[in-house]
Amino acid sequence: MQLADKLMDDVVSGRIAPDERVPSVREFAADNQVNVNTAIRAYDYLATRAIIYTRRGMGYFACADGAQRVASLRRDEFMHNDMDIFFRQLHSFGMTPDQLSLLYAEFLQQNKNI
Amino acid sequence: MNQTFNINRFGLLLKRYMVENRKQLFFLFGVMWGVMLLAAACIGHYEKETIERLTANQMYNCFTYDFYGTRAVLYLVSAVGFSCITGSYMFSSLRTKQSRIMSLMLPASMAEKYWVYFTVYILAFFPIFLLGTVVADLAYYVTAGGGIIFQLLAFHGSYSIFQTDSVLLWTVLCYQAIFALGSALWPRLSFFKTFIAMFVLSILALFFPTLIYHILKPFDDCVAVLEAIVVIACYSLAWVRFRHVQVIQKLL
Amino acid sequence: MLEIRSLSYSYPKAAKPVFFDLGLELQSGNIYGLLGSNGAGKSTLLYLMCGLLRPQYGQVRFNGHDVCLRQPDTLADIFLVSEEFELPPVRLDEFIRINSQFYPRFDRAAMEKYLTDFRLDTHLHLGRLSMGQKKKVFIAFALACNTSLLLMDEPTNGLDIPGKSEFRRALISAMNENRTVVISTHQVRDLDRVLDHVTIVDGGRLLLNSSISALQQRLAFSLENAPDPTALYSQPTAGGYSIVRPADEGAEETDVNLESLFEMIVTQRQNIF
Repeated sequence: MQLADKLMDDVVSGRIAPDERVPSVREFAADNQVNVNTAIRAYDYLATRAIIYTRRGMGYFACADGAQRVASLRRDEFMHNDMDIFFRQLHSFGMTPDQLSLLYAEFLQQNKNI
Repeated sequence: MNQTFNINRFGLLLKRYMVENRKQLFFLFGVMWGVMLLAAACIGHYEKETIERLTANQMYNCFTYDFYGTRAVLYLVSAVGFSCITGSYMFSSLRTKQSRIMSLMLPASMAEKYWVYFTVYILAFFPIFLLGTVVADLAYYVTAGGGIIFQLLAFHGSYSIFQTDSVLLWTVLCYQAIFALGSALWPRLSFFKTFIAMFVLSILALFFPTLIYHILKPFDDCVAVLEAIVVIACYSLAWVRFRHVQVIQKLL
Repeated sequence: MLEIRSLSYSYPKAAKPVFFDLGLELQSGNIYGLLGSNGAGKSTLLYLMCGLLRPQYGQVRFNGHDVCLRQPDTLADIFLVSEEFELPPVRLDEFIRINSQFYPRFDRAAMEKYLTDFRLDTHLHLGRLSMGQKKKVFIAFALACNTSLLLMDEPTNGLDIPGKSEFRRALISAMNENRTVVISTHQVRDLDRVLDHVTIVDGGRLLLNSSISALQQRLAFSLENAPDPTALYSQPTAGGYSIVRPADEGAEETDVNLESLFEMIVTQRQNIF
């Protein structure tokens, strides 16, 4: 869900620390200029996947393992949706697994800080 | 809370109206004062010679020269004219669609709104007019000159124009009421349209002299009563029209 | 809660009615979008909702009260931000002082917050503002009056692009479960993610009256490279074709493309329910 993605980015990048409070539903709706009900659905989506949790009367907070869960969720999504297309493309270029491995290692070398 | 009339809300509404429309009100009453002041000053200028001659020969008293005559005519014409003009502004808040929307949506009863307009344009006219005659008299004294005794003799008191005959007061009220009704019927170019309507009605009346005679005969001795009836009728009709006004109307 | 029952209205001296036997119920806590082509009568419907116009037949009741009676207590709970409005040439604090007293739930702090959201100074003279700035002030005042019914006629018209964002933000933060907001607009893109509920009027009739979530359950919206003749509707757009299809059971819900929905309903008179 596009709206949920924004909050997931914040959680996985560490901008919102584990157990830190996330914006209230209304603040989130206003900031993103969407209807409160849409924001509620985004928060429900995230709560069901244990990325955020709610404390009665106090609002929503990022789960302790939220970052790992987001990473895991995104990995699953990639493998389910995008990976097949990606590999087909690579195959159409004639790229071998070794070449791919080399390119990825180079990428990791050059982008140490992300 | 009484839905038809609440004195506190009326007060708030009155204050709001006066603040939001102060430019219009200053202009309206300012022009009235200005015209009377200038005209009285001109009268004083033209009467200056006569007065100098009289004061030089010590030949003045209130019976040798009517110092008030011309000014009285000025004040009479001003009273009728400006009461009609201010009357035609009574429903000026209905003139444009924007102002109609703003004034109709204001949380106050239609009665309160009506009485605010009445207070501002009809009731307030009288004290402001009388003060205007005092100011005009002052302008007259400045331009006419003459000694202090002369000036005291020349001062008849502007209120006397109403005191001499209550018919005059009722005539002013009557004309004002007609133009106020015109303002309710035709908020745009109200003065002009009401004037034309009166003119047309007068022409039509010429074709029915006997009918007019029969209507007016019972009021031969008490014209003021007839005028009072007209005043009450006009304001009642204006109320009925105002009460049911809608934002989109075939407003002429 | 606003209830419209069997509403029929014609313009003065018009032969054909603008609305005929219209029935509509608006629940509190929702932002309703009133969509329609120009001249469809959106402004007229808003005027009918707040008693500025009297219907020839039928009734409009707000919390049980007939709006045509123009009772002050009812009016104090309704605010109309009309497309054509005028602000008196006075200072802003004067305007607030004399007008807020008519709205018992007016919140001064909220007014200042909305003015800040709109990047406006609180010390303004209304006579010296541009049209767009006046609109922002008027909207801020309307929101701060905390009326249960807020009607807005083309609110984003005349607002610059940052202004439209500021408006959406202010509106959403002003919303609560006791408030009903009705926004009439033909600038669908300005408001499509903010609305809870969509109403489409055309030719005097109600073509659609549905919540956004119901629409998301029934329909799927996508952007594709080619039109699909088997779909309910295909609309050429800048990025390709906007396609509307019945939603698949169990598929993830898509965002409603209000523009395509509107075109589909109005041009094809599709009955999607």
